[in-house]
Amino acid sequence: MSEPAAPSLEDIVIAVYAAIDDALSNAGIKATNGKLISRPGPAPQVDDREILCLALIEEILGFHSDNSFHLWLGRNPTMCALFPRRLTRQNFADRRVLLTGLLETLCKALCVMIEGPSPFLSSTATPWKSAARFEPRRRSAWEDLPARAAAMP
Amino acid sequence: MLWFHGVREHLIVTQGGLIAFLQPVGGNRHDVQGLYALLESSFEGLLVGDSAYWPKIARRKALAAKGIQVIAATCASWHFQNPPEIAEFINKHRRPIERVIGLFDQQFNAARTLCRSPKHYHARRWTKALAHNISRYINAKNKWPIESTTHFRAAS
Repeated sequence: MSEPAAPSLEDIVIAVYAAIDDALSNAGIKATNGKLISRPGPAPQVDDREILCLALIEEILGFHSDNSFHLWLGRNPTMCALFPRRLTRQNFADRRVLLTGLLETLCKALCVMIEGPSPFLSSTATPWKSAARFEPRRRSAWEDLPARAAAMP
Repeated sequence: MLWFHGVREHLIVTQGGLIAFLQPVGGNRHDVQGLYALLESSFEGLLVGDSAYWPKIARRKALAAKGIQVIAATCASWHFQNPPEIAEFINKHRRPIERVIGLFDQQFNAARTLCRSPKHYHARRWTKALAHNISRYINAKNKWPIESTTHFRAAS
């Protein structure tokens, strides 16, 4: 398959922000006063969703260090226009730590969104994928695994 | 002073190649300790692993009580051997999972994480895992090649 025409940076940021929004709504998490995790104190200057979006963009674009990412962020006109309020590097890292539990939840939410209910859960019917559509259905190995796991010595 | 001599990270990958869970343990610990560490985590489900993830009987019961079931490969020298269809299943699914781990390493610099403390390390690792899943989600939604991140990099 050929590589797609490169989307612009703005498209990427919007796509990431929309994906975060989808995952949050799937996980049933709502932002209150710019906070995705309830905590004391006034509404933060930079929304938790913006922090999440910037942290993900840093990884998706392949930055090794927070330092190089923040240098790029400060110099890039598109990013400056999209994120007019930014935290210092240290405060950004601390806010990301605060959101660690949420990252874990969103990871699971995305697995469910893309693949449906996890095939690893023993109570869930496992998906059946076979190229031989017109043959009688055989049992998938996945379907037997929970019972076999329970019978292991 | 706290020194890090290495971290071993266990990735729990779904059938479709998404990262469902990360479990870091010390670099000097055996693979099965990563499985036992799940007892302290929020993870529940069925795990398929290689022979290093074969738990002891008491731990298997504790894992089952927490909702974690394990199917692992067996070594040729063991008395107990998996039925042939299970052995074949594990062999068949091993390569795609190793590929996901390789891509995660290559595309998200998973082999090296710059951070200033364990909590920052943990946060950044989960960000990498979420970035991996989100990139697949965006690609699927836009009908781009699922495992590619080249178009993201080209944008920057």
